[in-house]
Amino acid sequence: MHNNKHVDIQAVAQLAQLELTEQQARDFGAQLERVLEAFAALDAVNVEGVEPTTHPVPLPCPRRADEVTPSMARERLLDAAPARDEASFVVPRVISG
Amino acid sequence: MAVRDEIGAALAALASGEAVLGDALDGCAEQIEARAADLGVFISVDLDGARARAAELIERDATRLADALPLCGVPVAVKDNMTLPGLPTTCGSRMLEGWQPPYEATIVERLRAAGALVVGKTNMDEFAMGSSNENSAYGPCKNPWDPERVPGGSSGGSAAAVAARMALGALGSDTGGSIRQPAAFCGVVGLKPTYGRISRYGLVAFASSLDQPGPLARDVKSCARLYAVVGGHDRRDSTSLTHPLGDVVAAASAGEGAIDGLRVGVLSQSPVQVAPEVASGVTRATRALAEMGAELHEITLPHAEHALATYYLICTAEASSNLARYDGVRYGHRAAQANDLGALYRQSRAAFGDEVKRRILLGTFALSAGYHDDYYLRAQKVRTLIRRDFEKCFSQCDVLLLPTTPTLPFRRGEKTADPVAMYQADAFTVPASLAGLPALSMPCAVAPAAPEQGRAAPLPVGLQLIAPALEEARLFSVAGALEAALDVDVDIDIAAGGDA
Repeated sequence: MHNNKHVDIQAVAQLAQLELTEQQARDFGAQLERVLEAFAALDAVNVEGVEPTTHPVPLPCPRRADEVTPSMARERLLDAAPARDEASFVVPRVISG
Repeated sequence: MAVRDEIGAALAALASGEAVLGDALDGCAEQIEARAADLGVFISVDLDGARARAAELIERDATRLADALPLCGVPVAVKDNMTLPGLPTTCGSRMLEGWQPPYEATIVERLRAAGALVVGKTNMDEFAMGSSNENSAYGPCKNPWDPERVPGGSSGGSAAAVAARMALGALGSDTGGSIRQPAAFCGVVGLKPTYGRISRYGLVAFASSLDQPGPLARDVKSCARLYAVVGGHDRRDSTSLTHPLGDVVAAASAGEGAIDGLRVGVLSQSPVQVAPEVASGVTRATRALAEMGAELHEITLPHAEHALATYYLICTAEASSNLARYDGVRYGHRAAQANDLGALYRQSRAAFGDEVKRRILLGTFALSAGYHDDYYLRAQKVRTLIRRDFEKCFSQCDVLLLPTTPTLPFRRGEKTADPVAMYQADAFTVPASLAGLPALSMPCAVAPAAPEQGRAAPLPVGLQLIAPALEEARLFSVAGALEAALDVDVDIDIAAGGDA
């Protein structure tokens, strides 16, 4: 897996919705490749038949009663937004015309 | 040897009438006003708010309250990734500059209900990503022992506030060592509880399968007092555990009896090189435990050498997903001139700092099509192997003892150019994070100033105790006995202003 040392950093940035300058792309790209190189030792670990861990403490998930409680007030949430109108978050127009 | 219990002493003074509510706050306020700005400890200070809360408590008869409220009048500092309405929650980022949270974190709510006075929100690495507190958009926090050095991270401000007596206790959060490493670097006690012990409701997410809030204080028993207040089940966090905490405050002063016959595991081989000052501090603690009747067992964690790679792949993958929410729409920074939605996202996300961008990129890569199985899934499997290593250890011993950090606090700027070197600072703390285990860091020695080695001031050394899941009380009892036996002097010469 780690034979592929070159990372197409701009493609990754696009997936992450980040804009990188040429300089940042060079710096981050080189750093990312160096980090992946340092992590390549993970390749040598035998993980055959090992289950992945998604939750570190495998205890039963507690359940609570399904009670109806008030949600957070819409006004307060809208107030924390950088742009709002009466009842919505405002975004740039997504449909032309 | 008297049990150290600074918070207990403040409560007792209040209950007996020897002190009035607000005295402890005045002492902390003095330190904050004298040094907090220079050291970069806080992102926002709220002494007026703390004083107003103190006045409220006085009106409710503080002497009587001292018995009823477990943190009555105790000044505390809160990391700036925990929500407290009325003060901004920035996460050390321009992305959340000035953001006023619409709800209160459970842990903050519990602190305040217990009578604690919040003096401010502490500096931190942006979105808790860092080991030196140099990644804050609001300037670095400096180590009160030697301002040329880092306080550790990401809860550097919380550890520095406690060390410099700006608060009697603080809350931090620990994803891969962010409470324990700064606790070690600042000479204070810090606990990362079992994953799920303390509610994450109101803690801004970094890596959700690893994030865990926890307390910092200048002594073990004070740390237990904070944990007893903020810990325990919270219905608003679906990963919150329901198991009782036990009497952790009593455990912290259980004394030497807790050590007799205790099986202590020590690593037979370190996964990384350890500085001689750190090694000798840990050896001293190991000897002290043996003298109190502990049995020492050499143990191995065969997969510990892979813990850093495993941790950084998992935490960045989770971070890339968690931080997708910063899109300039619902909260946080919004780019002014974006013409379409894609541009709004991309331009708004320019407000992230470099380390945050680096981690989002690494995480996005590790999750991307064609690489997911080789990186993220493989790391999750190695995480299982690391958990099994610990299970095996705990079939032979009751606690593990190891350094908290491989080195003494390093110099500011020393590792900023090399992310891999910076990540190494977490070598001893990430294994317990990956396994979700409770781990506590406490001072075990002070390395004296050694100008010939470039050490201008004395520097603290931390050791780490790790226990099986849910055994925080055991950690507090061992740490309490060890603290009394080692009797490390962690008082910084405040009069020197840290300029030694």
